[in-house]
Amino acid sequence: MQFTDFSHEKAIVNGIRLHYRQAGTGDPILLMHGWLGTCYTWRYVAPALAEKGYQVIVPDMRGYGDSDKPLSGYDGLTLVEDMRSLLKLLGVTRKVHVAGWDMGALPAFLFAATYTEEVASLIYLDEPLPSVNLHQVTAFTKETRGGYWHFGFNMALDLPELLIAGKEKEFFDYLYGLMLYNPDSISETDKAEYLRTYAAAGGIRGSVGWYREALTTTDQFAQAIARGKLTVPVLAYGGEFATSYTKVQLEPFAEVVEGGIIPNCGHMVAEEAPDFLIEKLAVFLEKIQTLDTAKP
Amino acid sequence: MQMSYLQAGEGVPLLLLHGFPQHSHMWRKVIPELASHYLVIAPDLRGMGGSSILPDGYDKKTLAEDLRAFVEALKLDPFYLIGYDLGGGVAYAFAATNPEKVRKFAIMEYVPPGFGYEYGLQPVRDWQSWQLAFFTVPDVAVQFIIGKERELLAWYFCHWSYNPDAIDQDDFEIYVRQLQKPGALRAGFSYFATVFDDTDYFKTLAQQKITTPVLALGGEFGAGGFMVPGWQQLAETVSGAIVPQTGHWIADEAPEALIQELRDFFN
Repeated sequence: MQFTDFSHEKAIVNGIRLHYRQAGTGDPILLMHGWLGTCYTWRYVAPALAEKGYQVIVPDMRGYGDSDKPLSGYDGLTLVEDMRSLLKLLGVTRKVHVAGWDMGALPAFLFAATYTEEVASLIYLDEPLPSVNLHQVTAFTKETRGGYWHFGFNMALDLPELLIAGKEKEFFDYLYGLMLYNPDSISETDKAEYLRTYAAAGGIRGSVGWYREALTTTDQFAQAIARGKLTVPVLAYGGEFATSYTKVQLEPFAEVVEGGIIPNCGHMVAEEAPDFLIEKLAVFLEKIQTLDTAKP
Repeated sequence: MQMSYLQAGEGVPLLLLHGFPQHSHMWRKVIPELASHYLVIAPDLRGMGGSSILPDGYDKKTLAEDLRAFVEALKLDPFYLIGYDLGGGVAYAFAATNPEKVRKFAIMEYVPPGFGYEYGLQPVRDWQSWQLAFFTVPDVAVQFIIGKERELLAWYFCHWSYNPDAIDQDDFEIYVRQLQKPGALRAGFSYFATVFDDTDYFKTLAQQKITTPVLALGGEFGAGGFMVPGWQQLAETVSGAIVPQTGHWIADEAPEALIQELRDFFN
């Protein structure tokens, strides 16, 4: 199966129009992309999971791709409601595996922590933990080599929209240089697909929405973590040359965490190391028996 | 938010509210003469000129609340209020909700949505007000116009004027600079995008006509003929004038005639 075999669908959920793709039958798994991604982030992982017998649901998150780009609603819990509304609309009643990469890992975590009874497992990919260490990696220090400057930049109202417009490709190329271990992981065709919607009306603004509400999301993380450890099984991986501590950082906050470090891999794990990820995901998911949560 | 404003003169306060795509600078030709009779205050509204560019709050109800906070901060006595273009929507929302603050109300080149403005949203042959519709989709409008702020202003001042030279190159550059600031286009277009909420709000306000005397002014080649009939729907006492040989930019094109009309009305 190819990603092109996935359906294209749109639905009005939580007051906005979301574009999503899906294929496969079986236990549901939701794949949430990150900053500058779209559902296309999962073009290798999604078909493989569908072939292994899962209902694979791949949305363009609020503000991205072919989904609406409203002015607000980019905090983690609102994104969770987008996803829950979508699952409800799709008639999903079984517990869902929630997977997120980069900023998409944040709603995945909050989904698992807030609606534990609806979640089969959490897959958390290459992303720090807000309220735990994110503020350390965004800080301007020697250890962080100046820190994640893009958090501040993306939060500056109207500035990314003004400065990136017309230079979207240059901006992408710069970031790919930082994020990829193997620069061939993203082809010119792939870039064109991302730029198709990023360089369209509202694309830049939509992409920075979750940064502008990141401090709210951080508060939501602090509250979720204060309620106790995650009880659903967690699989966490970070790229060796990116957020390699992704798994270790989660250990104090979850009862069961598997995973580790993806060797020879940068930040874009689903595109740089899809085979590794597919293999680990398959083993992890297979161990989890989900129950139908439908009420009679 | 931070509000920037011009102030001159003394006496009874007189507030001048600008429209889009301008800011308080549009009153430069009338302020010196008015300031010899009144305490003239010309604020920059939210998102425009030197005032803060905020993410939202461009509906006319919120903008009138900005104005309320502004006049309270300045501890102003009841004043004469002049609203121009989309600033007229702010002025109307303020006058209708704070009648004790407004001695007299002059409105220029604006009839609120629900009472006339909406006709400009409809495509017609040689449509000159396409921007009223286009700017209701700010993301798209920003994408097409960003980097072309000059061209937008050149179109505006050419097509909506009787005398296109009324705005000289120095003034033109001042308007350009304001629109080139990060977020300025988005904020300005939001004044248009709120038209649907504004319509509902104005219809609610209009259930009771304002009793404050209203002067409705329009340019002969602007909204001249629409002003008095439009405002008679909203106010009990409406006088009006059509300023001859003038387009939309009355304060730029016919400052002396404007000063005379305002002086006659406020006296």
